[in-house]
Amino acid sequence: MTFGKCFINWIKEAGRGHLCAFAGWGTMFVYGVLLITRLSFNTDYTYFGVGSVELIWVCVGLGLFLGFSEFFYLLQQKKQDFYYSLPVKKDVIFWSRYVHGLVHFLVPFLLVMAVCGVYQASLDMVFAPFTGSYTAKSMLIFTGVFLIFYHIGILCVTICGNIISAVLVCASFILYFPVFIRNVLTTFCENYFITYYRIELLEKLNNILSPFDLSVSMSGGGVFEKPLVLRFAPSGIWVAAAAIWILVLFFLVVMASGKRRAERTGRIFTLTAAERICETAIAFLSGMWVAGFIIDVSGMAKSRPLWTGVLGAAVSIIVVCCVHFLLEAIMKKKDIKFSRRKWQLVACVAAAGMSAAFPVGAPAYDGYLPEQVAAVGISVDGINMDYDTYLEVSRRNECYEADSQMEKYTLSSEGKTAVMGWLRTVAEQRRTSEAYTYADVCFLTEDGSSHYRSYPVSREAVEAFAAVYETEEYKRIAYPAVELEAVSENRFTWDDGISSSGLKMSGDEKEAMIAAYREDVAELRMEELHTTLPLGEVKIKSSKTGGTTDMLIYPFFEHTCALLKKCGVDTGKTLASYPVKSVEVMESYYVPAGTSGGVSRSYYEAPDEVEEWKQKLAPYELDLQPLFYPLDHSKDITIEVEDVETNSTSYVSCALLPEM
Amino acid sequence: MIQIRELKKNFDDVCAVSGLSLNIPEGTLFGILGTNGAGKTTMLRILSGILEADGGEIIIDGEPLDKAKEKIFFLSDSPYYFPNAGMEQMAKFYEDQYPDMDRESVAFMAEALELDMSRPLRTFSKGMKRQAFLILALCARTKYLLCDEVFDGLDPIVAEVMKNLFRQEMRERRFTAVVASHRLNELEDICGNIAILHKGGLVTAGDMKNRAEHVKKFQCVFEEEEDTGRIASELQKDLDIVRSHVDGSFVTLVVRDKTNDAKEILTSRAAVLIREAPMSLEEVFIAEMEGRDYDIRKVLH
Repeated sequence: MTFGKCFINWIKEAGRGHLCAFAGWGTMFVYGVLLITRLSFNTDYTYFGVGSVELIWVCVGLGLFLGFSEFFYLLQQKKQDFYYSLPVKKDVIFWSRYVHGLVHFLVPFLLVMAVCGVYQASLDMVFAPFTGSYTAKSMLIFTGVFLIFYHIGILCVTICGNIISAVLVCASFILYFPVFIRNVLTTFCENYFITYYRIELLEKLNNILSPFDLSVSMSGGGVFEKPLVLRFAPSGIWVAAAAIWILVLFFLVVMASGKRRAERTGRIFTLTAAERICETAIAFLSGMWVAGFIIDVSGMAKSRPLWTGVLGAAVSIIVVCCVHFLLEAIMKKKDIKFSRRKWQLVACVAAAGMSAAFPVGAPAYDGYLPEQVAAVGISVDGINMDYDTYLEVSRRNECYEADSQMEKYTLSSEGKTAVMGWLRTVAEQRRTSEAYTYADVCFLTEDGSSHYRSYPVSREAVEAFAAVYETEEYKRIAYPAVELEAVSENRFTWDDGISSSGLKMSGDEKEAMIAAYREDVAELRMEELHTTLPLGEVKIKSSKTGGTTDMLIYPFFEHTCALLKKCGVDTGKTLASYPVKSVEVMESYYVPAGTSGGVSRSYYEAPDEVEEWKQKLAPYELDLQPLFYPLDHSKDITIEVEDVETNSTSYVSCALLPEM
Repeated sequence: MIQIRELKKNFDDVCAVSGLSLNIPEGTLFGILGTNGAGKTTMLRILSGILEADGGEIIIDGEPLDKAKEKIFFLSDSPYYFPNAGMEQMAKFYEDQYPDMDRESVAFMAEALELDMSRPLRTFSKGMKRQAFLILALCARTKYLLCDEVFDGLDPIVAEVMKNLFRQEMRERRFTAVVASHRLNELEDICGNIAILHKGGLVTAGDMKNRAEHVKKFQCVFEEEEDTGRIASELQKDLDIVRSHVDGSFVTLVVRDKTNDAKEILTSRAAVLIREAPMSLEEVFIAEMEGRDYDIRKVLH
């Protein structure tokens, strides 16, 4: 029998149970039917390829399932013996299975992609020009995702001798680097580095080393807007990382299949090298993880870094040794002794070294303040953000809002110089001063890399921030209405946080108002923000783009206020001036677990009580400088305001004004 | 001919086969005898290509093992079959692997043994499964058939049926069957050549009956019953006695008689009746193993 004929025979033989065919074709059929149904209703937010998180899961699941099921015979002693006793090379059986699994993914997958592409093109005119490129990109990208996980599945089955160890090794393989980077390295960074905010390199490393995160990055899992999804192309680094994953795993599969011994089926590992690498890697990770946990719980890393480093190193060594002995016992070694695996010491040394490296390297990390940067993004918690955003960034457990702020307040000219000057003072005070708030900074260097830091800022340093705040560049970003031009056709609306009304203005009046606003903003001093809340804002809706720009109005914006008065706006009208029917106050207080209560709700409807409350309240919407002019949010307060003109009532959320 | 040279196989620290050298001649039913752990199954699994040897070489008809796999069929003690597959499907599968597979013979032999070809093998009894796979193995028409403990645990009737299948096939065509067992009585009536393995090494091998040609068994009756014990012990000096048994005036002796003078010596010792009895394979083995460091009783019953 020729090799080709024999190979094809064995590909047919691989399909005996029809399990892989059923999984591959069945899953893709269901996916295709669901997608076509969804596309029939909505083509704006339904993506059959790039941008589809469901397809990532399908490819990941099928990759692992086909990898395991095609090569499951390697874990069945009887079946393996049966195959190996036949007059066929082991390689033929192995690679025919590989091709069989691949075929039962690729054929239905490519078919479903093609059908969905054609179907969406027939429905969606926006999609039509992208049919070819989007479909082809989806095919290539998701084939890559499948191959990564298919190879992981095959590798795990090949190096392991039973299904339990194969599944555990597979899970470890997929989760190892995310756990190491997100739970270990990040914990160390957070604890040792005073100025830690995020490290872009670690995030990139996580995306490269975590197969799932790489799949999401590569396939546009985080892109939601249709124009972006249709034009999405994975960056070169993700494509290169995926290609390396696929090739390295393939190479390891080739090596492992060649060195695998049939007699080791049923054991935990079939290859000694795999056993050693897994033992060492797991022992190392465990050591680092526990050390990180201890350091985090002790909370001493910032105050006593060297002692904490010694503690971390000691804990990591002990845990590495314990895990090593435990794994040796699980592997059923006759005589468990450390010397049997002398290079297990590598795990100990690496864990101890890494634990000690953080306290040693912390001063260098915290002292980083580049002389030359292309731009700097800055976000000071509580400055130029509403109360909800302030709460979000103050908790410091996620970066989304602060990142947005830094992106918005990216300064590259005089603002940058002012920020760098201000940061030098802040950086010097980082260990000595008490944190009044925090400043998150992103240094954008000339080579395009970003370095993030978060500095504790004292009250004095906040006052000194005026040097930045009062630069023209910063104000342009903080008060974007100053940049508006040719606004005569735009729609102006006055909103004081309780009611809004359109402004009847001529084109010239509108242009004049913008000019007055520029003047007021130019004269603005940061210290003035401590004195009062904004009166409200003029919302300017563009007649061309439909976008809205807010023009925040403070009482000390004399020129703008004068023009507003001319237009009929009562800038002196506060919440106290409105007819309020009732005030609802909700307070929360602590109760022991398992006890009902914890919330008290009070209604005030008596005119004198309502009047008293009115004097103490400000609309929630106007709390836009929570650091400079903080309102009291200890109570959830809603007022019922009567609109006499329309004979209607509206409900407005409020906060308590600071007591004078 | 299968030539095994210095075959070695270790499972971690355990030595399963240690420097085994053995020739298995063509056209014979060759028995491999040994206790559990002697290395029989390991040797057969290496011969069938399942395991890779750590050392040594295997030559089959002058070719290395990997080039001669089509000539070998391995029948394990509990053969694998596809879920829900019957003999018919297995025969079809084997036909794709072994070009000389004779499916008609499978059907014929199955019918003769009243085995339903279409019935799933999982519903067969242990004996029926063994018969079914022996039929498939024999009908694969390979030159070499390796059988591992195929008679183990079978009732005597089924075992005899299977042995008859071997005999019948041997009559029809020239092939070599290597049958491993840990019981001599399973092999003695079908195997001419037998090798004994112990702790991974070869104790002895060959045609035991030929090799024990000079070993004879005498049944003697002496006149005086009370002198029988004394005479038997005196005979130790004159004869090379392997085993003796005294029952009254009746003495059974197994002796090595290279010079053919044992009968004369017995006559001179006043034996009234001397009869040379046929030797069983068991007795041949005992004689053969005498003086070697191997307890043959382990494989006798």
